[in-house]
Amino acid sequence: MSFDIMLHTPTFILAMPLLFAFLTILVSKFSKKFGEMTFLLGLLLTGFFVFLMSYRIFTDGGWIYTFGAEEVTTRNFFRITFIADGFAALATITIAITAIAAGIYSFGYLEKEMSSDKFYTLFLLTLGGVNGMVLTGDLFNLFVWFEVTSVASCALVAYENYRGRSVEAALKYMVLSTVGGLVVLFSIGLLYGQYGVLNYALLSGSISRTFLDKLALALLLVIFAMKASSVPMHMWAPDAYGEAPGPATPFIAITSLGSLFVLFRLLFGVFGVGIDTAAIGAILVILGVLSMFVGVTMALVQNDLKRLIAYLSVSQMGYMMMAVGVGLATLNTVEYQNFGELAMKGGLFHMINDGVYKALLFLSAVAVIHKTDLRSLNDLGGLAHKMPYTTMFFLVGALSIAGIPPMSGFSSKLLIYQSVYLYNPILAVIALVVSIITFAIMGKVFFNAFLGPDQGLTDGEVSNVMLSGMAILTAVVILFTLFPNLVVSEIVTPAIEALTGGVLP
Amino acid sequence: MNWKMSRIVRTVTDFLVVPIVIFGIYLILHGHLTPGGGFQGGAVVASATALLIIAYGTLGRHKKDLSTIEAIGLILFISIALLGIGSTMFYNFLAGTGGMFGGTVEGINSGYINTGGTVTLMNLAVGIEVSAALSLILWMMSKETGIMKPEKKTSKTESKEVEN
Repeated sequence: MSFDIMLHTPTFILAMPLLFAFLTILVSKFSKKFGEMTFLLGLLLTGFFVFLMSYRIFTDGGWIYTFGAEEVTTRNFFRITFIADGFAALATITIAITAIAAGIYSFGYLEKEMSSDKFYTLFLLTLGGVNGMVLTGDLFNLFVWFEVTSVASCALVAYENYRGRSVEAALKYMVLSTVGGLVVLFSIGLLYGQYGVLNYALLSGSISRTFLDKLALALLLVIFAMKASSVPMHMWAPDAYGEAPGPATPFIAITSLGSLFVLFRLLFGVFGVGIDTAAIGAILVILGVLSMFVGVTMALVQNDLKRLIAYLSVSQMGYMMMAVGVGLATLNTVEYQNFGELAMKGGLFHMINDGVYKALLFLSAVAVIHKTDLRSLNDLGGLAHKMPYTTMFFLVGALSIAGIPPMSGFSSKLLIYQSVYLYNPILAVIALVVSIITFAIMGKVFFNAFLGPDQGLTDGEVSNVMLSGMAILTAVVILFTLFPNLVVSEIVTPAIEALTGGVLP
Repeated sequence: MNWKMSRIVRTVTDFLVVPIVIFGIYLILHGHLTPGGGFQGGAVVASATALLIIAYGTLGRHKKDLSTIEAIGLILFISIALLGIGSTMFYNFLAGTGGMFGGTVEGINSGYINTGGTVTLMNLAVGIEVSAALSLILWMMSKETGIMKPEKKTSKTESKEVEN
């Protein structure tokens, strides 16, 4: 029995954010500077272990990590397990990139605050919660991480509690999350009462289309779709995204993305064998189309910069649900070989893409709000003269979210159009129309806020720390733009294999 | 200028706090043998804080200490979990070794406290965390609801409301 650090990486991805969250409180009591350093160290260590885990998964395949066992390789279905496979790698990479960029950005944003340790603690707790949610292989453990994420991110939304609106948004988010958490617990109870197991792998073997199974599936689907801000359960998202403190905004969006990852894991890994995949896939497609269309039409009429991007984010979630829904609907049929797999590729590639460019858009919008104290598009204008770098970063994000040909958003959307067209041509038409409207909205925002004569709204560029946070994300977007085939073959394909191949035993 | 209750209440509180805290510590330490554990024991200890806040209207200057203690409790918990990393995280490396909390269990719940391994230590860590955190929550709530404010201020706000 030799100690192999690579096999232990899933637990460090979880332990590092939690440990450093509380170390940050302690260290900040002595010096604010050292507190920030502790926070940064925690983020970078998490990122480092995510990298190690993904490297091991991509070279040697996945494994199961059993907590409290004699050895990592011990299989004990009654212990808490973590699943380290291609899908977990995809999810944690997306989360880690956004977290590191937003964390570095927050140093500049919170420069003038007297004490920022609570923000850092909540940020790291949310990071730990989301990582736990996507890694866990145990239903009850999933509920625990769901609650950790909900509580930490609610507190994060209400962080600027001197503004009444952020408290209202947080209350709305908290009520929905708490009710959602209880419903998740109820559906876990339904499954546990029938089969007496909580492990994903064991459950997927015993699900047998009883009425209670269907009820549990419906409840889980609704709640995780709600957390993923899918229409018609999206009403909390624009409030929470719009009112969260600047650097936390992309991170609240990442908790939504994490919930979507969990939803896909449950649908494919746990229920995939025992359900009517065609029907559930069709439901996902309908939810996706609704999210896409309603999200983008609501974004059309927004004046508030952050709320506008929040509605666009709802609409982007629709693309992923639609594409993966097509993959689920065609699972285990001939059509899966023809276009279902392509749809899955497009959907999962869009997830990692969307996580990065949406964070970039949010951070550059927050930079504008931070510098000018204005949120309404009617008041903004001519910012490109004084803030050239922010303008450039926003442009990269805007082109990418609109799916303009060379950008990374285009590569994933093209995969989605191609494959969804073969499932039902109308879906591809709707996706194209939504994409065009998104481009129109981004054009409006860009012309309104950044171009035109200088109105003297700002005295210069944001601090270098904030710029470097955005620069990291821009670099990643450009990397995805240059090598989309590499991302699909190296990161997305193992994720699809892990997702459709069932949970590791 | 803090608002206090009468001398009788304060004296009885002084006497009561000691057994309440001891009962809480008992619940924490026997968590692996009897019903209870870190969370429940910590909540009992925090109820002593509630009594102190009501009787004295203040906790002195201990707010900063409470959040420090809370962080230490959580760091302790994660550190104990990480110590088992030689096998896996949360591995109970103390159980059955004969060292601290490493006694072997004989029969059905013999009530022997020197067992349980890291479970006992983790109960202790959770107990520290929960008692400090709940005390802090009670402190913040009592401040917001005005128990800690002097009486004069409340009467002023009331008269203002009447005028409006």
